[in-house]
Amino acid sequence: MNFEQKMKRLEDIAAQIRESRVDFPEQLALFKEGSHLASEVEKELAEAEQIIQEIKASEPEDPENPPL
Amino acid sequence: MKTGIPDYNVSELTFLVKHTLEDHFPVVRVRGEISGFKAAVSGHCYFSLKDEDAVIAAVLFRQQRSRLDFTPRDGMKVSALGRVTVYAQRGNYQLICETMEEDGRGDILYRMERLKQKLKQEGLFNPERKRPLPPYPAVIAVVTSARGAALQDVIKVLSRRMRGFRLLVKDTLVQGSASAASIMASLDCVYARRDVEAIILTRGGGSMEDLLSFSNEDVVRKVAASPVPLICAIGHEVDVSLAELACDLRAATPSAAAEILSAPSFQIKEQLRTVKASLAQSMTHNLEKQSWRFKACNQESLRNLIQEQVNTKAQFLDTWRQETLLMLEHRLIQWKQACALAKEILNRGFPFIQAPGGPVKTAAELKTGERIAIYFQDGVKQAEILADEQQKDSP
Repeated sequence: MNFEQKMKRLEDIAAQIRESRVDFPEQLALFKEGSHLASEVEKELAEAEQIIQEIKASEPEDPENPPL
Repeated sequence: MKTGIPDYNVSELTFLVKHTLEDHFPVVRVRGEISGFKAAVSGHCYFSLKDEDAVIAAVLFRQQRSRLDFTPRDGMKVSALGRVTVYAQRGNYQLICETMEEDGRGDILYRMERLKQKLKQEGLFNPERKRPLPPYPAVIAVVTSARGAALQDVIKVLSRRMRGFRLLVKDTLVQGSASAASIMASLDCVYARRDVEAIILTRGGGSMEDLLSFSNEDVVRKVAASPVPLICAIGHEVDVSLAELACDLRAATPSAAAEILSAPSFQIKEQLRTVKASLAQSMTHNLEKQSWRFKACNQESLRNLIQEQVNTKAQFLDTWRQETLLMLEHRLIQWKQACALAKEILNRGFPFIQAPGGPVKTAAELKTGERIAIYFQDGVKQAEILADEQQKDSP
């Protein structure tokens, strides 16, 4: 499952629980599945942030115009 | 009196001498040293050509002077091409120069010019042969002396302005009689490689004699045969060597060659910087969007949602329990009240009739054959309705 699919599934699970579309035991099963997915998504988002920060930090100096 | 001796006036004699001289020396090449060089306001130049034993006056008219590729001056050894004539007004003879070369260079320049014309005829210098330089060459070969300043200039400029390329240096003799062969061998070596995308053939400035090998016919042809774009940067401006005419691009200096070759990389670095900044900005924005989206369905949110469901269920149970209890209590009170009332009635001597459907209040509730229970103060009797009795008058 890619990131977008995971997010879609999570949003779907949240809606199903919130609106009580399924009976309680099934809501619990959904909650379990959602918790697992959510920790994966959380990890991916943290990694993405890390990457963006690293790229921002790696901005090379302009050798022609060194900083003053 | 006839003496057999020719008899002229000055003009006649001068005229004859002039014709004799001009007929005998219509075109001559004279070698000598310039002395007393004087440029008049008119632009014409007057000077003498001399050697150890003799002097001859010479004139270089403005039009001819403008065609020279050097500035004549005193002490310079030259080879002048012209005709001998007589300047009648002064009674002297002089050399009218058509053209003039620095001595020693004459033959070389002549041969070079001949070669240039020949190669030009062959189309070796044609503009359509010039190929564009690769914008981002990954492998660049420099053919020059490993100890020369030219190489240092090339390295300095390229390393400042480019990234991610390999520089191959082919150490080459670029001066002296063996240099032509060395240049040929180096170019062959570089041409044999498949990874080289651009070649810089270069050396620092020098005298024309120093740079002669760059006009050697074999070298020029080898340069023209390069399989990849070749930049020639022979460090000088005035005398263009033939290799520079045959190459794909001529640069004035080694640094200039490196600058031209690295120009696209240098420009793209600037573009990249901008693109990268906007990329990082967009990605940050996207990440924020995803994080917001995730907030509505992350662990905590899901926990809250399921907790809410659990709470609802618990609340339902609580309510049910409370309501049921209340109802039962209410029923109990009602019952107790009914019991008390019944007891009072019984105590007064009135029996109490109970049908399967509940307490009986009116006769109409009972049908014939229905079984009932009659409660008395001291016990219960079972009975059966035998018949309806029509009541005509109310008591």
